Parts: sequence; C-alpha cells; structure tokens
Amino acid sequence: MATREAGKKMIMLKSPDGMEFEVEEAVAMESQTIRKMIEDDCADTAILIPNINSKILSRVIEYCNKHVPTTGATGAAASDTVAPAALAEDLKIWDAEFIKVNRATRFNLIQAASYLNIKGLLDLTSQTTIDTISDNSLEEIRSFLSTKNDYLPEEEQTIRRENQWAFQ
Amino acid sequence: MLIMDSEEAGSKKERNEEYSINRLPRELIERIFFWLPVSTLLVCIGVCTCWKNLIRDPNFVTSHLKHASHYSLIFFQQDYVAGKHYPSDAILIDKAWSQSTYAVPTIDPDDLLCGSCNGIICLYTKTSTIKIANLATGECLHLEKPIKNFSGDQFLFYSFGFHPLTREYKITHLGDYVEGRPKNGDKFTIIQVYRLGDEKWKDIRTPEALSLSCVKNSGLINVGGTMYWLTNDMATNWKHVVMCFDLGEEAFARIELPTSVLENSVYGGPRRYWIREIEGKICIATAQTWHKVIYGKLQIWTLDNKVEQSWSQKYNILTAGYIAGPNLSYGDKLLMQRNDSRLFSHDLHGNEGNIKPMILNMMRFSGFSLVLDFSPRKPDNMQSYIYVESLVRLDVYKKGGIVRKPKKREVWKFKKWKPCEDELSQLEEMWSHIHQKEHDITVFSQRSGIQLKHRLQGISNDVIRQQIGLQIDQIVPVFPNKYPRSSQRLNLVGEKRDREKLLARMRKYGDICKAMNKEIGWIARMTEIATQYKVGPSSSNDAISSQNHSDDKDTVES
Repeated sequence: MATREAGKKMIMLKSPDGMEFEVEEAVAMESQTIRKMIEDDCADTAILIPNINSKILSRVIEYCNKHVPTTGATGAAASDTVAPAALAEDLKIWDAEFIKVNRATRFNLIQAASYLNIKGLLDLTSQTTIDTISDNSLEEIRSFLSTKNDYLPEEEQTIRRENQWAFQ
Repeated sequence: MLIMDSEEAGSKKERNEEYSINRLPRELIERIFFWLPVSTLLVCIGVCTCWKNLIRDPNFVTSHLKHASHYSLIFFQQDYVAGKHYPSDAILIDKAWSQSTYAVPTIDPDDLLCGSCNGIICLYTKTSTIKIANLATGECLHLEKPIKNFSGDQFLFYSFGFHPLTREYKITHLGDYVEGRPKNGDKFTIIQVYRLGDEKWKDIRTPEALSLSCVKNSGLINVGGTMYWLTNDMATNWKHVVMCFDLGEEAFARIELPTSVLENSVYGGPRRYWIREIEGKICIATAQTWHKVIYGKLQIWTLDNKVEQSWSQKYNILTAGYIAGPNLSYGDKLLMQRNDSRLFSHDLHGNEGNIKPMILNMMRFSGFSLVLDFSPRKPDNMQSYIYVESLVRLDVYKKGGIVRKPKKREVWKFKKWKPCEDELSQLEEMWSHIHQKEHDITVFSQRSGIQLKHRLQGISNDVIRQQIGLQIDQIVPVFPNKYPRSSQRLNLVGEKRDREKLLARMRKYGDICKAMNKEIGWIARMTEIATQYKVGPSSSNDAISSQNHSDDKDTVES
C-alpha cells in the first residue's frame, strides 16, 4: 500500500455530514470526477462530495487507496519484486472481501461509484447484483433485491404466459 | 396498538426501500441489465412493472443490443445422406468457442436460413410464408411470400437486413416470376422488398437485367444496411461486377472488382467467384474449382474503400474444400471448411503492415484448429452467420399473429421425419433402460450383501469375520446420478455427445457388473473356507491369503 510521504500532494475531501478526509491526490484522482475538478483547477484545498455520507466515502477512499497504481519511486520497487499476476490475484481477494457488505451499503456504493466515476468500483459493486439476478428465480430476485410485486394477479398471468419461453 | 403497528410498518417500509434496488437511478439499473442475457431479462420482466417498462423500452433494447454477445451461427440445411433425412439444425458458438448443444426451437426441420441481423433471423419455410424469428425471445412472425409457387433453390434469392439510419428491417427477394418460374430465364429485372410492419411487398426495378445463376453460385451478403451480390460483366478482367442495393434509399450501385490478372493453372477447373463478409468488410473470394470443390489457391480480397472502389488481397489459402458463408469470420478467426465435413479456424490477423497477402496452407493444417466435425452432413451443406442475442420485439410489426413456440420438444409432423423421431425415442428408451438396469443391480447387490452377511455367522474367527464383513459393505456399486434428460431437442453436437455419454455409461455398467460378480464370488468362497476351518486365526489367515484373488477364473458369473 502506498505510504504517505512528505512532498506528496494531499487533497481534502468533505462529506455533507461534516467529516473531512485527507487523501493523496493520486488516490483521489482514481475518481474521474475529482480528477476533472483538479485538472480544471476547481479544487483548492477541500472538495465537497455531495450525496455521499462519511461512511460510504470512507469506504470509497479505502477502495481507491488499494487500487491506486503504484508508480513513482516506491511503486517501481514494489512492481519489481511482486509479479503483476500475483498483484492482480491479491487485488481480487481484497475486492471479494471489500464487497462483503449489506445490500443498502452496496447500493450506496454503486451510486457513489457512479457519481465519482470510478469504473472499477462501479463494475465490482454492480457485479454482485448481476450475479444475484442471474442465479435466482423470479421470487428470489424479488426478495433479495426488495422489489415489490406491483402486478395485478391477471397481469402477472399474462406476463408469465407471454414470456413462457423464459419460464421453462 | 394500531398506532404502533402502523409505525412499525412505516419503519419496515423505509428499511425495505433503503434495501431495494429500485432506489437506484434508472441508468444504473440499466447498466446492470446490460450485462444480463436475454433469457434472464425475460424473467426480470415479471419482477415488477418498472422493470417491465425498462426492459421493453425500445431505447433500452437498442442499447442492450450494443452490449449483446455475438455468436457464430453455424447452420445446416436439411439434408439426405446415405438413406437418411437430417433436419435443418443450428449450432451457436460463443466467444470461448464452446458450442451450443440444444436445437433452436424456432427452427423447424425443413426451414432454410436466408439472413441474420440484430438477433432476428429470416427463415424460408416449406409453406407459403417466410418466418422472421427472434431466437432469444422465441417470437416468430410469419409473412406471405411474394411468390407462392416455389421451385428450385428459391431461398438463395431471399435476404434480410437492417438499415442503421432508417432503423428499418427489410426482406428482399430477387427476381420476377411467372407461376413460380423466372419470367426471363436466368435474368431478373425486379427486386421485391418488404419492410417489416408493412402490408405488402413492393417491386423495385433494377437498372439492368441481372443474372440469377450468378447469385446462386456466388452468394448474397447484407452488410450495414446494404445488400451486395455479383453479376456477370464480360467486359471486365474478372468477368463480374458487384451490385449493391441500399436498403434505406432503395437505390442500386455498382462496384468494380480488382483489375489484376488471375493466373489460371492448366490443371485447375473453371474459376469461380464468391462474395463474402469478413469482420464487416465486403470480400471477394476466387479459386479454380473441380466439380464445385476448390482445389488449389483460394484468393480473398477485401474492399478497402467503397467510394474509391479499391481492393486488396488479404489471404492466399491452399485448400481442398468449400467456402463457408456469408460470414467467413467469427471473432478474430477465419472460418474455413474442408471437403471432409470439418470446419477449421485460423487467426485472421498477424499480417498487419505487410502488403503481401497472408499465405495459409489448409492441406497441411498449419496454424488451423478444428472447430467442428459435422459429418455425416455433406461438406457443402453448411452456412455461417453472425448472431447477436437481442431483445428486439417483433410484435410491434404485427398486432396478433405472433407465435411463440414452447421451448420443449415438439413432434415433427412430416412423414419423412418419422425415422428421426423414432431414433430419438429409441435413444430415450436406451437411457431409461440403462438407468433401470443400474437401479436393479444396486438392489441386487444390497440383497446379496444381506445374504452374505447372514452366512458370516458361521465364521468363528472375529478378525476374519470383520474383514469379510468390510468386503461385503463395498460390493454395492456407486453409479453417477441419473443423467438429466431435458425435454428440449438436441442439435447435432448435443446428439453426438449424448450418444457418447450413453455408450460410456453402458460400458461402465458392464464393468461394474463384472467386478461385482467377481467380488461376490470371492466373498462367498472365503466365507465357505473360513466356516470350514474352525481353527486358530493364524492358519485361517493363511488359508485366505493363499486363496486371495488367485482363482479369478473360478469366480461365479451370473
């Protein structure tokens, strides 16, 4: 993991509930949205991240910290000693652990990843939902994703008949 | 109490909403749906009305199509080989090059394929209709053919395409016919066009009389909303010219072929030309043939610039076989078939920056890998298309009249398919027969075990009794679970695999029976000996080891 060294530029991220997070610029720039702000010089010292509470923001930062490419003096040394395949495997295991959260948090993370434009995090958080939908029956999807069946009984009959193809 | 109840319900509701996927903005739900296959999305329609509205939204259907998986659709038209009728059949090959094993329910045994785009295929049927089918949703639309009295290879003159600008699907049919026969012999001056959603076919006059046999021999492709085919032009070097028909503007154009001189070998037969598609590019393939089979060098040229009409030779393939089509490629691989009913693939690229064509040798198979052995089907019976799994709906083109076929197996009605159906039911019988036998032998072994254990009581030596007892416990054979039989029909790949599995299972059954009989015989003998030797443990042990499996020949065979 990248260590905070003197001389590295730090950025302050603020959540709407008043928490402040000091992160390395490189880590913050994992978010394309923040990168744009920094590149356009819209960010002085602190950036307010609206709609993302401190709990979610801290998790997002945790993800970015892990996924920031290890470049520069320390990074070059790290990639010399560790094989890229092993690094990717390590990240995969870390991701799998990271995503073990409840559904509400996961949906918050999806929204945060989308707003901050962090493709890796958006893919990771969406994948669990994709798997849930792919692997389960209609009733299970409803219960696992808390969607309310708002069909009238006769409507549901028609839908089932029309899509018999899929139900068999 | 009432107040408390409603409060609880309220907080539960809030909680549910927090946990519900539907609180995500629509574009994020869409993004998740893009990665789901059509069969799953059809299930999702039933989840709630907002999911239904999203999945059925034409804009979503279009975006989903952009993300959809591409397959190679290998089609075999119905055939008669060595006294046996074979039904029309399709195999889908996915990105990982694994092949589908179930038959496509929307394709009937007599259907012939004339086009595939956006997940919809166009099938020529034996009846008076053309069938438009979405393979993934199972929707089928039947349209009246422009001519009723068919004769000959009519399906070769149909084509199906989608124009990206007008966003319209059009079916085309070449030729002016009188009572099912071409009006002007080999020539045609009319293209009949049907726009999906219209009432009837429309005639469009060609700029000149064009050759039907040329289309029959060289093919017809539909790329990016334009139809391309060859017609004779004796004034050119290659004696042919490409005709195109834009499905949007419904206008014709000509594209000249390369002008380079083709060297004909004195041993080679007449030269033939084909129009094909590789990675969305228009290609001309040419080779000398002998009884329609290519022997020697097959040249493939691609059209680099349609406006400048510039061509370049990309491949030079030494082969003995046929040329697949209309799509000669899938993924980054070239598809080539040999005259022994085997389909091979070869990397398309690797020659970038080189002006000279890539030289491939199919005779020596260098760099080629086997995709599919489709024998006993005839080698010239295969077509290859690109298929995209899509949600495109057909019911918007015709209210009512949509037929959805159940996915399960339907019995084919035509008399000629009777032997095929019989063979299938025989196969099913064989499977249930082997499952029954496996069950019977298991029961038999359990009973024998009980009997043998009963006889153990005669043995006075505890150690030996325990030893033989353990042996008895092991005689009950372990068979794999019942091989699941789906009600769906298998395609030719699936059927081949199914037969192989059945054969392996029968062999295994035979082996297990033999081994079990041997074991029972041995145990019986040991029990007998041990019962007789009512002496000390050491000597009886000797007796057993001396007998130990050495007298295999004497074992009881039932």
